[in-house]
Amino acid sequence: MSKMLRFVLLGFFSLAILLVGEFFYLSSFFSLDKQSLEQKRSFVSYVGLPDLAMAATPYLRHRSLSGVFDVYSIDGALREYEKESYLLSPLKESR
Amino acid sequence: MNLQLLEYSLKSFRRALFKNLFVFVILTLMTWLLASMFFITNSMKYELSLTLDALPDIVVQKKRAGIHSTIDENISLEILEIPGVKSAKGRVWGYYYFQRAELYFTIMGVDEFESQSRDIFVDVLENHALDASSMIIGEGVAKTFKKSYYKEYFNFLKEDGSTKKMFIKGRFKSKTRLESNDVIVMDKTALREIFGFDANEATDIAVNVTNKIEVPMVALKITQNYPNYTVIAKDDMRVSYENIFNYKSGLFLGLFVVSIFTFLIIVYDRLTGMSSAQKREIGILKALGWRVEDIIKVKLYESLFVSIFAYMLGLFLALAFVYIFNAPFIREIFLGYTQMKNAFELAFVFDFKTLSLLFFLSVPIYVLATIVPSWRVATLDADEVMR
Repeated sequence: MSKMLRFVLLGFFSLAILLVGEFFYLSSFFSLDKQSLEQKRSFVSYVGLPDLAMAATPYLRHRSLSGVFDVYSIDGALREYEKESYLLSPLKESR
Repeated sequence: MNLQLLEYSLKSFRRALFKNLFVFVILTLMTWLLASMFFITNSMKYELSLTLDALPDIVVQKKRAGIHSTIDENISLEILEIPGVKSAKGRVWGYYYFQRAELYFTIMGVDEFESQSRDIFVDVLENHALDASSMIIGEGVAKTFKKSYYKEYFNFLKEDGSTKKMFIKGRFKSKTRLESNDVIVMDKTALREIFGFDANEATDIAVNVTNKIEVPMVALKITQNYPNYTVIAKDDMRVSYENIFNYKSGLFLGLFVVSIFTFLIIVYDRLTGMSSAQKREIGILKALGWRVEDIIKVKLYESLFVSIFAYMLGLFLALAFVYIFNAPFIREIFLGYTQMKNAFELAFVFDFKTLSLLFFLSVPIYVLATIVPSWRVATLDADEVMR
């Protein structure tokens, strides 16, 4: 086995080990624990509102409860000027 | 595995080092970009779906001129008469625009007794009961108030132009930040005063059903009884969560298309033919007595080495990018222009389907795109190839 092949195999297996290690690290320290989960559920049942506090614009903040035309309430020109509206669209008026 | 062939394939890789490195970098970037995108969407959907069960079964809204309008709270008494309905309650909530910071808060009104004995507040107070002049706020709200020197209370501007002073009684725990950052909870009557609602005016009606199987039937009955109202069942919210990103037009779709297009160009380049040097190499190998399967094996090792290495490195970088570094640059798109920045700390979700999708989208396609032209050339006579 040449020096180059050994070097490449070492690099390959090191990366594989690093990747597996990263998975274990993230699942140990970055997963939701039971307590956090309960607190989140408790908060949502207390407030009773859906969606995440990512976008603060009214028609995007609780998008599950908003429709396409709710944007009129803040802008009569139906202008979607918020950056996050490229990603989070209000629901279609299908219901 | 034949180590001699593996070594030969590495030397072959080195002979066209820059070209192969370019392919390797593009494959790694593509995997990283797609993996980051999938990790973010998976984590957000996971976070949302965890709390879905805690929401009311049905929400009834009133629309006027196509826009959400307030509803008469007494309707809840009529809804209660529908068989199967466990509870129906008018809710007072809405958005409050804080002009000084140019942002919106979500304010929810609760009855006083509802706020007791909850384990979601930061303060270690024995009694969290709200009175008519106190409120509980999210972390983002607290920071915004602090910037405007409101540390103990806040003056809400009422509809008639006068102000209502509300004292800060507590804060939601930071673990619920993704849900509670911009939320204020206060007494229902106080909120009605701020919003200028009448005593029976509510934002919507939350309905709970005893038997969860009957939710669609109850929703249908409400729709039949009140055809001009919007009825949102929990399943609608589930669908909304599923479609949280507007894939029809959006930045993520753009990223996805660009990545796939770049990858397909590489595949096309590989499939449409080999360079004369590569053909000559195969011809010489055949003339030296190499079999077709040996040549294919060399190409297989070479392509597997490039694609698997790129796949693993792309995944490694994406995991660190999203979960450890909290997706710099990309998080700005989610958080928007708002001054009330939320912490972009996503929970790690191990999704085997995403990993398989990325693997099958990159490795086998690239391997095939490398092997097929080599096989075509390798099956020809050696003199024909070298001529």
